[in-house]
Amino acid sequence: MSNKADKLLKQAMREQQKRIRPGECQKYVRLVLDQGLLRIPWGQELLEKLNNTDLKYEIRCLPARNCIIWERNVGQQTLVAGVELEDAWNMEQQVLLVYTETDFQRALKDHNLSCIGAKLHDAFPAPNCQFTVVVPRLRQSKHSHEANALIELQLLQHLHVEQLAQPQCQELLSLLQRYTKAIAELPYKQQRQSILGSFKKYLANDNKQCVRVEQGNGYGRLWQQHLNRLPLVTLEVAESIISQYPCPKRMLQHFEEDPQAVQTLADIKIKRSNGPQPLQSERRIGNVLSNKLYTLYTTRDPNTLI
Amino acid sequence: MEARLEIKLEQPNPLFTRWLERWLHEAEQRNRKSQHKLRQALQALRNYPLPLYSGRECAVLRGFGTTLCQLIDEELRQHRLLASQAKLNMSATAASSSAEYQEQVQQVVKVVQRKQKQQQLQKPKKLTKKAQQELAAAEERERVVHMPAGSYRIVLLVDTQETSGKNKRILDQTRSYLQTLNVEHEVRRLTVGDFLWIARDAAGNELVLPYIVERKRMDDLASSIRDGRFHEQKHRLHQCGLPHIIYLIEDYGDNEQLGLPLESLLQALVNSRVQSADIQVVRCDNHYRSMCYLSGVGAALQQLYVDAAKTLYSVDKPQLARAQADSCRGQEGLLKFRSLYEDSARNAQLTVREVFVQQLLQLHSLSLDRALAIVERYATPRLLLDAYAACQSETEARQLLAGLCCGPLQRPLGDKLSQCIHQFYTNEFKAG
Repeated sequence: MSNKADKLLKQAMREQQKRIRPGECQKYVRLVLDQGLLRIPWGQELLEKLNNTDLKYEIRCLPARNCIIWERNVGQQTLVAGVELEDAWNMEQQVLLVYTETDFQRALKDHNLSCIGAKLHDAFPAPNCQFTVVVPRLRQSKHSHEANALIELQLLQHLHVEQLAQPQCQELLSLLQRYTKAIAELPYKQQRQSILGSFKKYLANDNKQCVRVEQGNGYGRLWQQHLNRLPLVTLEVAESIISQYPCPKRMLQHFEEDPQAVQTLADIKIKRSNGPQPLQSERRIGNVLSNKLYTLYTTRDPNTLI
Repeated sequence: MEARLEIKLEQPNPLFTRWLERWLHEAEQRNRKSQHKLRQALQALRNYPLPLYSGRECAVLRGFGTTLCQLIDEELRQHRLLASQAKLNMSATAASSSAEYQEQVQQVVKVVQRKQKQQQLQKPKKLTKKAQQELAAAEERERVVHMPAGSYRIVLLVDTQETSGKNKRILDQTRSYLQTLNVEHEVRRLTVGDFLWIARDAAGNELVLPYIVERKRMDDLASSIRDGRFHEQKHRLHQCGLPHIIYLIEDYGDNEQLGLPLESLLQALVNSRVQSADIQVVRCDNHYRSMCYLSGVGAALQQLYVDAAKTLYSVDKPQLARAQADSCRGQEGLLKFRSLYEDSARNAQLTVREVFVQQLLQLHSLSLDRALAIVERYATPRLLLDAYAACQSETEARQLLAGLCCGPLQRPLGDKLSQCIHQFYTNEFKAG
């Protein structure tokens, strides 16, 4: 690849990274509200509130009444009416369906809820769409007809349900803000997830414990924290190991030179700072841990289990 | 194992036997008196298992009088003469016959040994108790469980550690609510999740329905987000394979004083929902309402499975997604409870790669992207050390990692970090 192409590619990557970075990303996402929402009791109020936020939105006639969807500007453009270039907006997966109090009660009475799922899938046939039904919060009584209806929506039709407390308008607005933020940040999170997902154990970002190494100081502490990464290693165990092997080089040398190294390591006594004398068996590092350390620092197969 | 080999020659004295047969035949033809004795001798020779090397030796046998023995010796002499003249290596000569005999014996021994080995491979050895147990467990894992409609009940499983805080009182409360609501449930140690539903048949087989519930009170949610447990739990819930994850979020009084702003918690919940289609978030006012919810779900499952007369069968985790997608009205593939349990217990073990990444992350300013870039190239500590050893100079070793491209933007790792890591693994330093 020529340098020019390389540069362009890098530039494109940077641009893309910028667009998905949390904070920046919200600028490239907008809401699309179905125009039916203008006519609901608090529809106008909702619009006024929306205008007071940073959220970008459009009003359109959507395939299903009272729905809300999201669109993202990925930096591409489309030719409109053969003459103009416009930003291309791609639809996101989330679709909300808003039920007013009246609509919801009616739907319950008429047992219409069981066909919502099908209706929504028809209206938005894209394969990965995720639907959320937004309803007013129920008066929660045990085994109410409504509660069961919502459970059926969840289990039978795999629809998500969000219940809005009063005042509905404000609650919906907060909900939309949260969803917009989540949707905007989705590509970034997915990027990270694609890496982390392959690991069985979640790789915690415990940044608070990181060791700063400056001018040769801090290696000791770093070594201790390396040892702590192993499941069986407590603070006392780590300290006992360090008393024999103050640096990894020593341990590695020992493993290499001495065939009895594993046994020696296993026999190291654990110094307990206080408390009663523990059982004899607990005072050693032990064969299990010793073998794990040996495996960790000698194997060339990354999939070995320890 | 040592075995005694008893070699029985089919024809220990083929030559003498042949001669006798000939003479007998002649005697019978001419109706000589000698045929009787010859017959006797032949019989005795045939029955005799050891090789005889001369006529004289035959004297031990019945029917072999001096005459016959002499006859044999005479015949033998002529035979040898012929043999030496023809320069053929006939098996008549005692020496060569004995050597060949030995060779033949050896060959027979080899054949027997080979047969023995084959037999040993085919015949199952008696197993040790541990081996027997392992075999039984493996068989159990392989066995396909089939539950036709009507043969199973649905039971809610409650994790023994299902608490808000390490409080047994909460578990008791859970149980009493469930009892009040007439929910059939059982308390059991669950390695993942707080609540599960199983279908159990009369034989005791248990299949897990594809829903897993993680219950969190708002204050729990806050503390688990702060110490990172939330993400780890979410990761493990995804790993278990069950396709429908339900976060049952319970209000904590007025949801004030949680340790994190309520808005952050709600955002975290929406994030989880949006990032994964598998996750549902359900909010309830209090503990009792949460149990009501579980009761409602149980009733819905009863409809979905028992009333709908679904047939259930067991599948392995890799097949589960496919089985769920394919699940037509009448049948559904589900995980065995045992497999779920064992699988998540097994996942508690780490690979060397994972530990190595976690170790690298301990260094300040070494981000996840960078750690992953290093491990991509040198997957275990040993491999990194090998690379260092292979360097021609100290400078080269110090710079070994500097050029590694990290992250989506492919930024280089940098000299500083490269040196730092090199020093860490190759220098002697004191504790502290």
